[in-house]
Amino acid sequence: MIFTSTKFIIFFSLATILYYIVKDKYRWIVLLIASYYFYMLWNVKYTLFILITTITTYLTGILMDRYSSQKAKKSLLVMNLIINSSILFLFKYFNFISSSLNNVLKWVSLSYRFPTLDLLLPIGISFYTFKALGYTIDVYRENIKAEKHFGIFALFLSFFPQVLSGPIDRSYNLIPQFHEKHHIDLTRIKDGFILMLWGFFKKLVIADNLALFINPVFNHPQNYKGIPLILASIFFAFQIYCDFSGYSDVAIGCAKVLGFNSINNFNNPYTSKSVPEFWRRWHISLSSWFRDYVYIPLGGNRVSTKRWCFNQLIVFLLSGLWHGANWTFVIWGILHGILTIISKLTKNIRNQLTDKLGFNRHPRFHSILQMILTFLLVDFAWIFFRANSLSDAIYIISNMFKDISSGLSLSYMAELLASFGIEKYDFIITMTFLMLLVLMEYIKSSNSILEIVGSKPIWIRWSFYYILIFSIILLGGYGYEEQTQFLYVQF
Amino acid sequence: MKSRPSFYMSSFNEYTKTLSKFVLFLFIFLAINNFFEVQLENIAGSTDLYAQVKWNEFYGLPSNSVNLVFIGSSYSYRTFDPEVFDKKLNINSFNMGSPLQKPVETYYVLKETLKYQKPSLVVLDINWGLFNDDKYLNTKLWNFDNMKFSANKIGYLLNVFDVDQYSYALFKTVRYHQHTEELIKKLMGKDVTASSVNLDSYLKNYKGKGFIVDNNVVDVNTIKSKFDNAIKSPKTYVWNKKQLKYLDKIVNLCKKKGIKLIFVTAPQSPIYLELYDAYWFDYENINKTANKIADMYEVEYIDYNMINKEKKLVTNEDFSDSSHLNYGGAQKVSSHLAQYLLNSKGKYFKK
Repeated sequence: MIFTSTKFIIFFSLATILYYIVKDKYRWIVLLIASYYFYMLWNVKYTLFILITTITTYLTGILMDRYSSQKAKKSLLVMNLIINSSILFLFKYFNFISSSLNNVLKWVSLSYRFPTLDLLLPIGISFYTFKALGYTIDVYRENIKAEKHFGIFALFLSFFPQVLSGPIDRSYNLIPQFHEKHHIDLTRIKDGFILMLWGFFKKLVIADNLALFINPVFNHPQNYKGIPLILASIFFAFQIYCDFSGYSDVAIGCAKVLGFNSINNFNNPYTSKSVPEFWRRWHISLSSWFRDYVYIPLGGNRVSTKRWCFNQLIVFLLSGLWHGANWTFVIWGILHGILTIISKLTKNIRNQLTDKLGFNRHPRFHSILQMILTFLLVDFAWIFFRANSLSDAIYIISNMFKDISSGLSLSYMAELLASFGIEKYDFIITMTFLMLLVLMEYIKSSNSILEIVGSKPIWIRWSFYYILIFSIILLGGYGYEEQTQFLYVQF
Repeated sequence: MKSRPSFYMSSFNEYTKTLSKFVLFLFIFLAINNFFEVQLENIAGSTDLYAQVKWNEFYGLPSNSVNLVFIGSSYSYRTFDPEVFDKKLNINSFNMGSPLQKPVETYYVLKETLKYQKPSLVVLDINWGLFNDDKYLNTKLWNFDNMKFSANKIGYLLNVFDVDQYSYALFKTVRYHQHTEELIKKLMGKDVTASSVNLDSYLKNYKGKGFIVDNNVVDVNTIKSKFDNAIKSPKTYVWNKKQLKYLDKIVNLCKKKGIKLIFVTAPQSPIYLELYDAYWFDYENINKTANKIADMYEVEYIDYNMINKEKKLVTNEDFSDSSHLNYGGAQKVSSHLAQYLLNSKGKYFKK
């Protein structure tokens, strides 16, 4: 059951009604049942693994609270980290490591082969495992008290708006909210629905329509040269943004309707003026997780430059691996690590260059230039993220600037669109919406669509809502036989 | 984000105000939606003209004027010509068949039929091929779009369509959204060729009372070519549980209303049946299962494929395609069934 399906709309409506009908003290039960039902619809067997993570993490928290000895607490922490990471490793990384080692063995002409397992990755495992690990570390650090209520804790890990693709909410943000009373607040409910609508718009109207162009190119890059490769690479930056931020908006909106405030996940990432800034604005719940639970324990920025560079590479390598067990993700992560290091190491030189070129006299022009440059760097890295293999990524990079002149004609573009089965007007409208989105992201100082729209007169607000609704209905890339999954669900 | 004043609804007035705004919002939404629906439907062109005409004709009938109802898939409305039965039995019959009508759809169509008519006999097409759970949307819509609004129609929506098809059934904007490109062109003042259908030529095959005529004669080689790459490994056909459940409901509905029921299987062209039996599914087994079901409900079952094997009632020339009778074939089978009903010593109709 994906967020953009009618099934989900019905499920969510029923869950919300039931949630508000029952007494406060039983509401967690409604949410827990709804969350497990939602999760089980993907595959009943997956429930076993989320249950194992829930039980072991819950018990670890309780025991940590009970023992005062730091040594015992540390042992419990290590044990829990091993159990949860092992499950994640088994499903996500075992085959990757096995087949990588087998390739090495084949290369050195050895006949031994490591076994591979025929396992299907439990959906949302990376997200709920990170939630659980974060909770355990927080209890160990005594940032929060261990949750005594097993049902509430199980709900924290399985909360249906977040279980598939986050945001990876923090225990200290979400768990206390499950204990609070949530009255029917119509403004909050309305805001939640608007956020959901905005998410559906980004996903169905922009991301899914861009996918029609991107998928054929990235799935068979060898068939293309020049412009199609450039366009597909640029479009992918927006597809993944609209897809994942769209998902996050729907998830945060759902939680809001039910009375919960989730951690924010995006803050106009493509308006970043440097790669480190991009990471403060992109998938915030994950990057802040790595910051708090990996980067800072490694020493943060209070270490030597050499050590800092090493830490950055470790964090970004882990971030790449978190996204998927594939060399393309490893390269993507390392690339971001290198770009972050270069960004810091060249800061003084760049500042001097800015002064020399007189950019500081034109701050707006300078910031636009920085944004474009950052976007191009991030977009370059996205090629590795989206490519099906390293060889595909290398092909795209080495061929994207070939035969450019032949691809610049309108007739070529029309032919290309037709070969992808894309209607000309649909494409023009998608591009228009994309431009408007970029413009809006650039202009708006606030992160929230709710604030931008909420302050406008009613006729503007309603026109905006109707435009969103009818754009989704008329232009959305959906079909009852085939529903396009959110990209981040695979992670 | 600045926190806006909370809107905790303690006051009745605030609730009313919000509710009124919501109703107004919904009303405007429906108005805009209706505008787009009309535009898109004009562009898409209707594909359910037979269904429209049939349902209009049905709703126009005087109450309780129909004695015999044929119901089921295209095997029903392409086989049983009500005119033949009316003449021979001196009754009034009507064919409520529709394309790919499965038992789940039949149940709701029959319920709708029985709201307006009290037939003494229902002849139900139980072609095994309809006992499946395919997700094909269009044919489900043809009855849904033309049934009058009622609790029965809601039942049809909830049980015939998949949950993910609900929005397609309810909103034509969703259903025809792939025509948005043409709509944009049209709104920009450009010429758009609507996929319109010439009503007269389309409806000339509609003979009335739900019966559709086809005068084509099938080319036997076309049928044979379907099996060109097939392997001879006939399997046992699996009858879908959901459809069997609805067959049970149909039987109970008829019992409850005191209506007699006959199960029929319309004939397949002899060449097709022979090849089907040899390559795909064991027909003897299908016939046995159908008989078992009929026996369980104590309902009479007439399998025209078995009758045809014995009596050679219809030949390949009586078919317009591999499985559907042409007009000549339909007349032969209709006459046979009418005669059978006439000979049934007043079991179904008085002589």
